[in-house]
Amino acid sequence: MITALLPEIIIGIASLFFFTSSLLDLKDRTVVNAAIGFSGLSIAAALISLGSHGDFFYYAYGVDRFSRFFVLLITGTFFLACIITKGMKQIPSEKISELYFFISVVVLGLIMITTARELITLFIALELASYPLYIITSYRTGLGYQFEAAVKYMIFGVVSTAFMLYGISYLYGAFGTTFLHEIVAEVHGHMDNSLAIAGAILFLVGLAYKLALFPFHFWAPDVYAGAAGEVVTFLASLPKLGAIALLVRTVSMFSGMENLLPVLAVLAVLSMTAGNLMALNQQELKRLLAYSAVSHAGYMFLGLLAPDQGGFTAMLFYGTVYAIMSLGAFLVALQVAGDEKGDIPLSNLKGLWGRSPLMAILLTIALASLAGLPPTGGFTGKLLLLTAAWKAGYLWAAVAGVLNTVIGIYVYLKAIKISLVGDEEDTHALLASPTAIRIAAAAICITLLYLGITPGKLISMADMAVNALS
Amino acid sequence: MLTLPQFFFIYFALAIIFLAGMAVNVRNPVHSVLLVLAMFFHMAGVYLMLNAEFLAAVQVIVYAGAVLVLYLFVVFLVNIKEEIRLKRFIGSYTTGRVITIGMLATLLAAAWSFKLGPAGTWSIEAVREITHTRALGIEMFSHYMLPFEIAGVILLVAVVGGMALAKKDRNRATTTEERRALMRGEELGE
Repeated sequence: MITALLPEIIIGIASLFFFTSSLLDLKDRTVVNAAIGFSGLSIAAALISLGSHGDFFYYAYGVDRFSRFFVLLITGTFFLACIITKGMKQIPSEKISELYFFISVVVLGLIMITTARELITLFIALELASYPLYIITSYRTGLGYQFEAAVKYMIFGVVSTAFMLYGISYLYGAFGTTFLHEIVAEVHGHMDNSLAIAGAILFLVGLAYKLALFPFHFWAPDVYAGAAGEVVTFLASLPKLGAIALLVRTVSMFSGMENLLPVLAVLAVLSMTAGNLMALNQQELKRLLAYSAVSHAGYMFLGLLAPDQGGFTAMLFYGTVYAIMSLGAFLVALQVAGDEKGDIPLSNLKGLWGRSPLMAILLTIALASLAGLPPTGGFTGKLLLLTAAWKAGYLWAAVAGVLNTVIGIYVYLKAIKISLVGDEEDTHALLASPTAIRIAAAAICITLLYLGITPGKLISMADMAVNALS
Repeated sequence: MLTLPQFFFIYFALAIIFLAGMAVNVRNPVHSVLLVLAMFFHMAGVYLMLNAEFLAAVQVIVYAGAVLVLYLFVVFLVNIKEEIRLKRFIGSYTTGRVITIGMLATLLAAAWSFKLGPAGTWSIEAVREITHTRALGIEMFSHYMLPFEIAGVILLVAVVGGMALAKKDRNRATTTEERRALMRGEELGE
């Protein structure tokens, strides 16, 4: 029983530790190493709890294979992101402990999102995972527009949360309960109940906001560009995983509802088209990655269209790959940011091959994966998603996805070209990255290629997780 | 013919809708906050009609008493005249109205499938039997224990966050050459 909740306990202890350490006068190095240690421990805890299951708090909190799969994913991303952001160049030194306190609370909230099985708990856990992010968005040294970013992030977040809460009230009105196991038992009688359908769609709005899906994406570019690179690394990878978990869980309950899936299909196609088109002219690396997040949210929504054709498995697979490849892209972004406090224009990538071949290789692989080129994990993931959508009868959505991949290839190849074919007599110095960063870079490269060539193991893990849902 | 409870319900409902609409539309933020205050009192009235006396009292004490006074402080502290001149996110009134009316129509259409009458375990009779405060306590500390506890953590985050954001200004004011040197030294040490 205690092993089932081990990751929560470790992350809870970590947040208490960083809460205390923010009052003490510890060295930055100690705090960063503690964060890496705690996140490593939490991976171990997630591995231990992987197979366990149990119901807690009157069925409000249900540990199962699905939730533990995501907990492993979240803790792994947490660990990798802690290593990547080791330098903490853009964060004021006295705020590092607080930053880790907030991030461990976010991780705790996300773990609860994947595990909670009651609407109020889900809502509160989502809030727990959101508030700290609003605060740390404003952490940045130098004159940036971090406060504008924080305010935009918060206001859009609050509005989408209001929609979500309104959706919960409709769901409660339709089912008379907030517990998912009671809703599942009654859902077949409500497949054409317009109250329940409206409630479900409004509920999904809060998650679409987290994923930066098209009509809810307005915060993404400014927040990505305005916040410190280290913060964005966490913000671009961790909350997406929680949102994917909750999306899959919700849609698996309501997939039989009238007209729900066509709405999601329209959103998916709109999001990937809009994201790719807006990414075409971006000159700033983090802003480019923000629009790339918008289009990837669209791709991931394709998986929701095929509940019975392996769409959820594909979505879990793609979510994993997306977390890894966006971390890879941000690793390079943080390295080329240098000591300047400002933006990271694409021209910073010039001559990257000459400055640090490993970074150039990582950037090429990560962006190729984001574009969906073989033999990377991104290609396999997109292939799985598109075939699932096609099999489920959404041929037009799959075709739109393929067309968008072509636009995406142009966007990402432009950045790759700058890094590989840049001017030789460049003023930029050689990039001397710490050993840990170089190991992480190599690990990300190998993982992305491994998932592209032999995806079977991850697919079967995702399959087992999805099977635990029904 | 309307019964007395029906009359009061219709009055409260219409007043809530009217006050909320006015709160969004008036230009002076202070008036807006005061309209919201009036709206909260009317919501407390609806709670009273549902036999939820405790909730009604909490609504008045916490929302009307504490939260809104805080809002008023904030509105007084920031420079209001600058706030009003901020550009709207959606430029044209027409676009905004079309979207809003469309959403309203969708939500109203969905609302038609509400079933009238008591539902769930806590009907008015059941609440009346063991009194409202007790029913609330039983639910909150059994089935809804977990969200109740997480809400505490959220408050902790809010407290730390408020201090973290406030700390920034003090440090910026007292930034010394010494601290810069310290930061440079640590960056070199990395």
